[in-house]
Amino acid sequence: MNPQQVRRCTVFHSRGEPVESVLESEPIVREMPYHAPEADRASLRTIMANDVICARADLDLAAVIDLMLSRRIGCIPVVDERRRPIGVITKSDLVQQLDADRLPASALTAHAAEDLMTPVALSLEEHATIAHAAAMMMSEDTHHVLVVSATGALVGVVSAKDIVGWVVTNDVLSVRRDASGSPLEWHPLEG
Amino acid sequence: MSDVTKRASECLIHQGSGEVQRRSATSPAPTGGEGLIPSPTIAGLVPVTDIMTRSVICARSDLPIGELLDLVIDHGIGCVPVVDPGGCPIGMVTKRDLVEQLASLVHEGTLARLVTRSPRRPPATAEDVMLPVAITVDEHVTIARAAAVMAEQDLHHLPIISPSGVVVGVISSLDIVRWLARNDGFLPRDG
Repeated sequence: MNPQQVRRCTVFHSRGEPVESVLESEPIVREMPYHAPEADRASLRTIMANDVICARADLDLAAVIDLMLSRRIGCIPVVDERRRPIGVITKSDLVQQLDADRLPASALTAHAAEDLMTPVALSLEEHATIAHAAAMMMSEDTHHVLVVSATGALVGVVSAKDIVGWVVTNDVLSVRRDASGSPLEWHPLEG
Repeated sequence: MSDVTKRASECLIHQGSGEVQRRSATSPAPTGGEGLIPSPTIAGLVPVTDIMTRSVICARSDLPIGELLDLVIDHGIGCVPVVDPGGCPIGMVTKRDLVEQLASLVHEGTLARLVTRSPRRPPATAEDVMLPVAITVDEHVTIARAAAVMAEQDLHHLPIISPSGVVVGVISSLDIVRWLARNDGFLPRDG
C-alpha cells in the first residue's frame, strides 16, 4: 500500500489560530469561554505515553494482538520507515476482524498490520495542548490521538483515559469536596 | 424528587432467547438543560447524569458471543454491561475481552495445538467472556468522581446505576473528554 495514498494526517498547530487542521478535516470551531481553560496551558507532553509501541506495516496479526493485550494498550500506531504514522490499529479494528472471519484460525494469521489498520493517522504536534487533543477526540470521535514531532515522526500517543487522568489531578480539590457516592479516595501524588 | 427533575433512561437488554427486553428507568435530568453546556466548569460540580449516555445496550449472561459481537460492532460501543433479570449489573464485556477471544483463536491455530492443555470448553455466551465484576458508579456522583474511578480502575467505561441498583446509563472516557472540550469552547461538529 502506498503511504501517500492512505495518509490523512491531520496536524493541529498550537500557534496562530487556536486549532488548524490540514488536509481533509474541517476546522473545529471554537468560541473562547469566559474562563481561561487550564487545558490550554497544559502541554500534551505532560500526559502522553512516551514509550510508544508502534508497528510496521508488515507485522502480523498475532503479534499485534499480543502487543495490545500484554501491554494493555488500546491503539497501536503503524509507522513508515521514517517513523511517520500511516495509520492506527485499535481494539475495534481487531474486534471487527473477529466478526468478519469467524474462520479457522489459520486464515487469520495471514493478515498483517497493513490489512488491519485504519489508514488515518490523527496527529497533533508536540507543542499542542490538552485542549487541542480533547477537541480532536470530540470532533473525530476517537479515543486516541498520535503526537508527532516537527518532522512528522511519531513521539507519543494520548488516549481519552490519559485526559481523564489529567482532569482528575486538576480537579483534585473538588473530588475531595464531593461527599456523595462511594468512599473512594484519590491520591494522585502517590503515582 | 418530582418528575420534572428526572429524565427517562432506557436499557435494551439482549437475551439469549433472542428477545430484547426494554427497561425504562429515570435518573436526574441534566442540570444545564437539553443540549446546553453544563454551567459549572469544575468537574467536581457537574453531575455525571449530565453527560452520560441514557440509552444503554445491555446483555444477559446467556447471550451468545456471536450476537454480543454484532452488538459491539453494529452500535460501535466499547462496553456491554451484563445484567441480571432485574437490570442490575453483574459483569461487563469490553472490547479487550473480545480481543482476548481473537488471541485464543489465533493461537489455537499455531502454538496451542503443540502444547498439551486440558481441553477447555470454547466460550459460548456473554458470561464466559465477561469480566465478572461490575465496577459502577452511582447516578448522584459528579464527573470528577467518575473520572477518578475510571483512572484508578484503568477503565474506559463505567455503567451508572440508580439507588435501586439498575443500570440507567453509561459513561465513557470520551464523554468526559467531550465535556472538557465543550467546556473549553470547542463546538461539537453536527451530524
